[in-house]
Amino acid sequence: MIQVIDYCKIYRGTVAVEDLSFDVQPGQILGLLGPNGAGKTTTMRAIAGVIPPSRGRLLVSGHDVSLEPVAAKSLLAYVPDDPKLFDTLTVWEHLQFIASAYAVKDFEANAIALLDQFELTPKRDALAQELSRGMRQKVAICCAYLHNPRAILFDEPITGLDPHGIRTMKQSVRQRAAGGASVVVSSHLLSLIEDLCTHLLILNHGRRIFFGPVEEARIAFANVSGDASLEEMFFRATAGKAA
Amino acid sequence: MPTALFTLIGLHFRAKLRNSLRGVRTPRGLIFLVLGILVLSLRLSPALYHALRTPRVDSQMVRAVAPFAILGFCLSNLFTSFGDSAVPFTGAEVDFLFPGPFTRRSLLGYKILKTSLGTAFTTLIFSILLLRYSNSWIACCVGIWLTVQFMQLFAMAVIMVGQSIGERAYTTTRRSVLTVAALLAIIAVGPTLIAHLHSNPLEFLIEVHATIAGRVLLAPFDIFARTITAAAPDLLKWAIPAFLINLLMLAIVIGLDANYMETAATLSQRRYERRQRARSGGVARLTDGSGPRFRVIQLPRWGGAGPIAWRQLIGAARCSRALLLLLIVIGFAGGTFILQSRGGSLSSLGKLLGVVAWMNMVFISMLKFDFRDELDRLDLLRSLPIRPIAVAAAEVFTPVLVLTTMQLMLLVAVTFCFKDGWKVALPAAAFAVPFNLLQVEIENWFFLKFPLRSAGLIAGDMQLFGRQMVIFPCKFLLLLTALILAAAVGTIGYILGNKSWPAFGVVAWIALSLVALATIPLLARAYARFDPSIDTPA
Repeated sequence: MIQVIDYCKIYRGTVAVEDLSFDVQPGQILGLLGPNGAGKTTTMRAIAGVIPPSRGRLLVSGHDVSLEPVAAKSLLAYVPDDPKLFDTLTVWEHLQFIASAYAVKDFEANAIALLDQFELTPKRDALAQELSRGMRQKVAICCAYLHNPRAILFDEPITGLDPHGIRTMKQSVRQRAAGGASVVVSSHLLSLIEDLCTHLLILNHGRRIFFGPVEEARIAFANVSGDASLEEMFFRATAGKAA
Repeated sequence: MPTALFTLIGLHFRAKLRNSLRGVRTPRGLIFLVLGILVLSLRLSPALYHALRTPRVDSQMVRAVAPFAILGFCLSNLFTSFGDSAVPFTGAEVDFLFPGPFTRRSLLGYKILKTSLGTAFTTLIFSILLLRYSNSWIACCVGIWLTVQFMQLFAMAVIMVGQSIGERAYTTTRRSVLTVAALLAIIAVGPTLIAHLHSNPLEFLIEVHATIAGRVLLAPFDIFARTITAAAPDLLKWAIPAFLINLLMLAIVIGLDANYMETAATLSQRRYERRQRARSGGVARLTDGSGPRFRVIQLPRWGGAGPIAWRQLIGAARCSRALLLLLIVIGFAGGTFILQSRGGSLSSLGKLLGVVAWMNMVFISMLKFDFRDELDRLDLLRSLPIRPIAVAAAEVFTPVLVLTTMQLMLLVAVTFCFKDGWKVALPAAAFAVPFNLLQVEIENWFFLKFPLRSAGLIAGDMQLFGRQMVIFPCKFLLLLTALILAAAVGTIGYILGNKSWPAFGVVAWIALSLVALATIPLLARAYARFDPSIDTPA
């Protein structure tokens, strides 16, 4: 599971994220929402251990990302927005490397299944630089899944994917969550969040506006008729003050 | 260091080899590979011949010069933007390794090891090219390798110190290091600079090296120079201290273990963006877009050529820092020559113009405000309702304008510094536009016919090397042919004008201008035939 406790990130005096706390239990899919500059990617990158927090604690299955980075990262996968692959390595070599990095034994069968699931089998020996944007995204997702992470972070996961790829991606996220993984999905596509997520975290100007199950959000931001779409909830939430 | 990181280095090595041999399956690729090996052999052969058959260059002389070169490289590493990212993680490394189960130190170790191994090919080539300046190949090879490592570790260490102190202090630290180095250099150089301004450059360097400040400043660099020039029995005597200096640098880097990851991630993003800009090469890669945003007056439409030329002009204006850097290089090289030849004869002026012509060839490859910068935008360009000839004319406008402006500035200096300098500067200024236009057209024509991303060039890629070696002389031959043609027509004017040099100049200028103008339709044709779906390289 993922736990964020009083996380704060300050860039040269500018507060990007302020005293943020939330957790994602195994099996939950958390949708991270917020306007541009709300601190979503900063939070994801901090949980992934790419950038250090200015304050607070970030834990993956009880391991502090700052204090026990290797233990925490071993259980985590991060798929950034526009993932950059190693241009001169083939798709298969990416998987080979990830298997080695996360000490995945006998990875071949799992890798073949993932390539098949994401329709990458014909591109197995293609160089990363020869792949389209969507295919690179699929490779990054395959790499993320290869070591069966307990926590998965997706930043705009369906950018560039074709409809089939989007469906596969959504199914795979549900499968991973059902298998006990804690998943965080950050996206501006409200329909994706609405379709996929069990919980919501809405950020604005680095502050938490809402955190809880989607149903609670519907109640919290309900309109006069008592029913609210995610789009309405989002606009109501980001127009108001931090809670 | 975890095995996975060794695996990654191995995969990179295999990928590099594969990339080098990728095109060999096609006849064109094979020809380029063979030519590449041939040309490299031809380049290395004279160096080998001189090293083996003629007496080696005096070691004392090399030891006097080499420390300056090493110092210069180290400082330029710090000065330039490349120096800012001395722990240069790629975007892929940030995305895959930073969230991966690795410690910061193991990632640093991976980076240092990968960089060290990456310099092996360069070391090998330079050990042959510089063999005649050394006493043994082994010493030369070991010395160069240690020197390259030192230069990299030096930059890394300074940046790590900076990062560990903090962004604000870092700037101060860097400034302090550079100020101290500059002060020492001034103390070392100052008195001798004045005393030996007109002396031979070599004597000048020896004099500077001999001063106390010079010896102190150059002491660590001197050890590397002595390693390169060591006789076989003395190799260990110099290689061990050089190795220890590198170890010290490494210890500083590893010991600090500053939390560089955030900075490295930011820098890698910046590098990635720069790389995206540099996919076509050019001075644009030297800037990060943080420079001044000059406005450029909108040009008239001119059949569609105006907006395209205007866009390229904006690009040039926003790379003004990089252009300024180029001007400084020109100014420094030209200025040194002018200072040494001040009041001199027109023959030394001829030499200067030769240097300018050579520099022209180099700078033209950097002023890519034309088709060479459009590789990823050719789809858009071709979708515009503008005739190819207008596009071709517009694309060559900006590099010609920038190059000509640079040359005119130099020619103004020549006019003031040389006796009767205007006699050469004036015709040179007149010929600058048609000459530059022709040169830019040839560059662009070859680019459209054989498109290549300069960022894709990697050390040891014989095929790409061969391709460059073939295309470069072809460009030169075409330019030379046009010049000979203009000179031949000019000679007719000279004869018809009763042996009048002005007549020669005017007729040759008209001929060269006509050739340049007639080349625009050829360029337009090459552009019209360019198929982005086939011709755009990865």
